[in-house]
Amino acid sequence: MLLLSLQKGANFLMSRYFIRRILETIPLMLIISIFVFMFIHLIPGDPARSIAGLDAEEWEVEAIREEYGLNKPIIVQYVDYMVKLFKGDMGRSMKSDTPVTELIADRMPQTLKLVFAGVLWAPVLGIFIGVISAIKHGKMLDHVSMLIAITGLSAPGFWLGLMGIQIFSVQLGWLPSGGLDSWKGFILPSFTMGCGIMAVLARYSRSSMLETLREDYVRTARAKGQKESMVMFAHAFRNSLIQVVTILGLQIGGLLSGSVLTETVFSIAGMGRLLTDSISFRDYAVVQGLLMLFALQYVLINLVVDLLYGVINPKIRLD
Amino acid sequence: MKKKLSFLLAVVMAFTFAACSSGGSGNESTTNTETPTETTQEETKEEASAETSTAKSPDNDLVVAMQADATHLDPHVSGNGVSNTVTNAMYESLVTFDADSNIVPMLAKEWTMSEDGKSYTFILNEGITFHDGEPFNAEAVIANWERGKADESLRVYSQTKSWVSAVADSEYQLTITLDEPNNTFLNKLTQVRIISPKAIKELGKDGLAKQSAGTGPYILSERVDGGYTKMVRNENYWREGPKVDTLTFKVVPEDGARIAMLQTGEADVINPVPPIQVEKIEGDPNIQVMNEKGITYRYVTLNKNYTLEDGRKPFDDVRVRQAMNYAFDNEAFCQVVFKGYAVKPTSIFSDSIMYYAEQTPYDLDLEKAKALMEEAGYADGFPVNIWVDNTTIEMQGAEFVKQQMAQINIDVNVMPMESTTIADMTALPEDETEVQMWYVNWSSGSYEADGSMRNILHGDKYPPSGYNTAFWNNAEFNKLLDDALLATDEATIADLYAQAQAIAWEECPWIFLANDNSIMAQRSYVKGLTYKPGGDVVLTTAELEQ
Repeated sequence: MLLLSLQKGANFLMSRYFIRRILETIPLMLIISIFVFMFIHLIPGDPARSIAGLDAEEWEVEAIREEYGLNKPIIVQYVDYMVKLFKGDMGRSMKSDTPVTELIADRMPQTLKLVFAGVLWAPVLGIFIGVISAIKHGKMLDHVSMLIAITGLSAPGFWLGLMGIQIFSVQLGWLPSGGLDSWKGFILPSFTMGCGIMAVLARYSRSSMLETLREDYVRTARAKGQKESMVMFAHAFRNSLIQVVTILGLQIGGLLSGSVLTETVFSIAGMGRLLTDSISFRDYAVVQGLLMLFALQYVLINLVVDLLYGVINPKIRLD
Repeated sequence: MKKKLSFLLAVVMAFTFAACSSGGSGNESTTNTETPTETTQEETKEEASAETSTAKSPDNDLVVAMQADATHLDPHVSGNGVSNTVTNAMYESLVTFDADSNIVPMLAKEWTMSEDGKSYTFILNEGITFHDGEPFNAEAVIANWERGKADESLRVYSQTKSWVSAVADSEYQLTITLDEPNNTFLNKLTQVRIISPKAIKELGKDGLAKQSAGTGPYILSERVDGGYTKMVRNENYWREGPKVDTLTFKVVPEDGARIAMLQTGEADVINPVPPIQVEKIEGDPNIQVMNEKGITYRYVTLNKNYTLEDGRKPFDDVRVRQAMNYAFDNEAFCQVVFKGYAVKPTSIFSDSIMYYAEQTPYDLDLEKAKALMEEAGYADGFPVNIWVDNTTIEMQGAEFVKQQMAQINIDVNVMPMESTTIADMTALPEDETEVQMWYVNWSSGSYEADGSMRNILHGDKYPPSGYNTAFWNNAEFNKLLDDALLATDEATIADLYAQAQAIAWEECPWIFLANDNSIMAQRSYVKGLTYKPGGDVVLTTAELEQ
């Protein structure tokens, strides 16, 4: 009975905590929206001129500015944008004359597939390497694991991608060099995408695990004569996960927006490439829409990470 | 332990080096190191066919990998080079250019110009239908012009704004009247792609982004924005059409990936091939490199208003401008920066453009350059900034200019900037602009002499109305351009443009750098394509040997 009420209380706190966190995101997103809007509008460059082309007459450029409201004061433009945004209208792309929601909806599946392909194996392998490395601390396996991790960290994604294409597509002819049209097409982009995460997680989980292994409760568990595997996984590993989950959240958050290099190298029409194309064109509505989406995604992932803390360590949710 | 570790390290490094070197040596044994600068279009094709292998295409689907995506599939909305390559597979115009930049019939089979040069009468081809089944006739052309008239934001508006009327004399005869004679009318007409009147009315630009309604050899079937545009063969095409089942334009922005796709056969044609990557595929028996004459010319504008601290204006003195041209080694520039895939300029614009007139080139002559600098009072040179796009090849070019100008004591400071930023900064009017030197290039997609000079050299085209960032204003030159535009007689037009080129060439508002070649490449089993100067590929009769 007592246990049940404790559980209820915890659930209550948990839900209040949850609602508070959700509510906190609203002012945060508003502040982000101001930054995003100002950032893209303040960098030099005129989208109207980009649309009109270099050979356009000045009146043509002016007509385009008028059409998209670019000649209004920036505050008015911001308010107009936010009013529309609250109605679910993210505006129209000036470059392709298409609604931004449509563009993002078209591009999102490709990026999500890519991120999923990277996330599927990289954290698991990274944590596995890290844990093995910590358990075999100072031994050959530790050195090999860390060599893999450091190589993964130091090799830039685009370089890995291009090397992968050169070896596995051009030289050996085993894999396609671009696109996500078949399962084979996923291999190289997934490897390029996941390598960095794998390496970072291997490093973090190793050091976190090593730290935990030095804790008193681990020594106590060993002193009690528990099996080594039990000590490692029930005590050390679970507790070392807290730090790892934080890093994992940040890494996955970065994946969505940071997929741009992989998307470029493997000719994948995803959101990352849409963002870079739109920035160089100063396609304001698209850049704003994407940046807001990436920010929201970061906020949500952090929320999930915070909630996961509670699952991993029940003490945290009462804080 | 240490031994094991060093062995492991050695294995990793060996793998890395193998991977690195494989990047450039895929075809090492057959790499052709000959300088391609002097190669003509015909020579290239002959050379390529001599080396051609007997490889066959595994399918009947033509894949063209392009650097960028079409901005819009409605040909009245988009107008840049990439968009045109894609939309030209689905839409056609009354007249077009052949491989030698001559205007030839397309939807119109013949035309005549009235004596006053204001009216053109076209006899149209009969029996042509649009993709949606509507007939092509004079009324259809008129509907396209009317669409432009009604919506100024469309590109077709600026292409047809000089038309005063378009009248159907009969179902297949059309007379277009202009407000005044204009020698670029037919050039501009090559850009006016004809859309089915029914589709204009019912689909609009949003609908035309998803469905094609032209008379062209391919019909749109699928499009993923930023990914690919797929088309199927038009079985009812009105003349000899493609033999391939489908045509796909894939967007492959990364240069190395585009080359890899051609090597693996995932792409049958790639456009463009960056000069620094050509050697990777040159000599591959399965690949033909198309080294075509370009229409892009590269120059550095010299703002005549640039003022030194002591108040002197070096670029206002023609001797300084000429000295800079004599001090610039164009041949070395073409070799070093463009790996030989560019040619020394012999006039303001390239010889692929109509009414080109050859001038005496500024051969490297340092003594003369120094003498001119001394005569102008600038023997000790002066400092100056050059603006340039922040891409690798552009920055290399600007660095080359800096090194060459140092020979006559001009201290050039290279300022790389993002292209959209530069476009904005160079659009500022004369009294606000900070441009001193600008490393830039220009090309006229409609191969016209007027389009190759007016916007960048005419006195009326100071920013923001144009891109005359040298702020060079020569009354005689301006008048020659204006007179030529109104002239109707071929010989007169040619003579006026020749005089204009001679003036600008002598006056040197720019440092003339080079004319780029257009480099494209295809698998050797691809047949029936026509490569035009400037990088256009005509895919009407495309065929894949199987």
